[in-house]
Amino acid sequence: MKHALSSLEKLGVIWVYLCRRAKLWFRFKISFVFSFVAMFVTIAIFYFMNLFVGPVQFDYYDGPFFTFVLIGLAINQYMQTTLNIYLGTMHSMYWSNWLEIILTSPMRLKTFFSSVMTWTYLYATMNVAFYFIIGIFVFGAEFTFPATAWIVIPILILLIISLSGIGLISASMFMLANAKGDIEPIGWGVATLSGLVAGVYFPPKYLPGPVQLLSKILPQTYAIDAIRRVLLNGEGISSISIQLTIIYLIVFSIVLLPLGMFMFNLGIRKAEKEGTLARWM
Amino acid sequence: MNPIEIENITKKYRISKGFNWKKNLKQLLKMEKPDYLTALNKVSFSVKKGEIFGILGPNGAGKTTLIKILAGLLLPENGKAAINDYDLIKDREKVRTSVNILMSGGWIIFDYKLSIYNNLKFWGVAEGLRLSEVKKRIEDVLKIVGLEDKKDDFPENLSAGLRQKMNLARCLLSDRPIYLLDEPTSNVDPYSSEFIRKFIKEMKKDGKTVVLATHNLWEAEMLCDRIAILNRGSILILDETRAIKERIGKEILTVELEKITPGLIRELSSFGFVEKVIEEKNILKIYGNIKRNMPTLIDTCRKHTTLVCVDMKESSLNDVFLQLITEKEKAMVMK
Repeated sequence: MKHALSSLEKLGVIWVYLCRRAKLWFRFKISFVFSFVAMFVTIAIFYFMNLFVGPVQFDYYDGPFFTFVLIGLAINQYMQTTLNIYLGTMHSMYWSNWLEIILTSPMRLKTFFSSVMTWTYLYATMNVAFYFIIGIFVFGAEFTFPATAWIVIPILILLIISLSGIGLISASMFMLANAKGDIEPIGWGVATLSGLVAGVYFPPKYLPGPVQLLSKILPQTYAIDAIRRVLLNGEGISSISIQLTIIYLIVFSIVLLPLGMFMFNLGIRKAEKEGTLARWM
Repeated sequence: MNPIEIENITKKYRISKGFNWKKNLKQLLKMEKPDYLTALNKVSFSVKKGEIFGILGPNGAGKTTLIKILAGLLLPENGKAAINDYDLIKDREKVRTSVNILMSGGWIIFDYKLSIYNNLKFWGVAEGLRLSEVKKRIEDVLKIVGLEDKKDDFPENLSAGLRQKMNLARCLLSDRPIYLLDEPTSNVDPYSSEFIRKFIKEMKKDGKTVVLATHNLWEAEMLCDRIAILNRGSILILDETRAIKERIGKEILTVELEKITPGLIRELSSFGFVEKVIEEKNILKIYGNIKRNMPTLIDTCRKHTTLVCVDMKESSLNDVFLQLITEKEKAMVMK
């Protein structure tokens, strides 16, 4: 009888979970192929839009619209993944009764979430790589990948941490506000707003004043801007705007992650009291 | 100390009747108290090591609620409990890993597009089995439940009985001292049910403590050392299976007659050893101390009419259960 797993055993759980998800991924062959087709079509749409609108001159980014939007799409993959992963996992655990079985296993919820996150971020990274490979080799997008490109990784990590806070708040609503449907207002609101105000497809400066203010409260606005500055302009850690972005993201992380964890635990506690950890038993 | 000790456990559920903003607002402002359903009301009992303890009750009696509380998956409002010497509230994580829970329909956790082996592999490592030992353990448990030749099959192709065996195999991947079984043979064919019952007996032999929640009274009678009969969240009776039958069980004489007259019923009811007489068409059911007084009863019936058929039996747990539940319902109506 084990009450908790060792670090090695936890790694074993993550490894078996990855293998399991990969098997399922390949099992649904049509879905597997179509997911790549969908990504290809998305990139093609923006390539032809780029031809249609012609060269676009941005105030503070170098390069054409196509490379600009390709970076936006890539970061959007991580953003959407982070905003949806917690609620999505709670949703599937609730409807399939996994949550109760996980709670009675020494694996615990944290290791399970780590497994799901490892798979989901690997999948997102593969999608991002696919975007860049198709963008560069099929549609001729030009990237210089400057020596300062490494700074993208800590910015992305900080973005994921801060958005995890919002993702966890969104997942807590599943239990606290009984948001058992596919859509939950907080996560859905932030994910939908991101497309409009965070600068995924165009810089937020074109938005009306009050909406621009909205973009300022989202961590992704700063991260997208900083990553574009690095990849398009070749700016590095010495740039003030990059340094400020890192500080903003650290502040967002410090505020949002503990808040998200607190609300998520509150939600689990409520579900334990109400007997709503699982749907069918 | 006993592996399971619970005292005055009470659990209430808030009743939700859909979204009503007026009602919800009033409840939020504490102007109105929400409606609650008492699922368990001051339930106390202990289960000894190696005992099979039955929890019997009709649908909605509180059996599953009790099982979930014992598993540490549901928090009670009041009361205290120790499971495997761990406090139910303070050491909830240790309580959870001390019990193995098997629910009817629990196989829905399996992915229908993965083989039995691949499904079990994840739950094996989740139980702390090393990658090097998980294969052997899965083969062992599949052998125990009789699915050794189906390890590459997919759950979608299995019958309900085989799926429940697969669920049982998942349960057996870990070795824990307490097993909580919630209607393990529900929706399972007789052959598989018999297999599961045999298996529960084996658990007892291995010194495991088993709590079996069921509404299959025959099954409880066959398996359980002690039984608690639960209705509307309260324990109506708790004792050894045999003692319950002796205390409440009755001998029943069923007599089929050509015709039944009021005089016959009156005369039968006048005997001191007869507790009650129930008339159903041309059949009489006579409850009481029957065995010793059988000749008197038969003679009385013959005096009034012609006998067609006679049958005598001791009441089963089923009869005891129905009697108890009916008495309780009657008492509630009287109140």
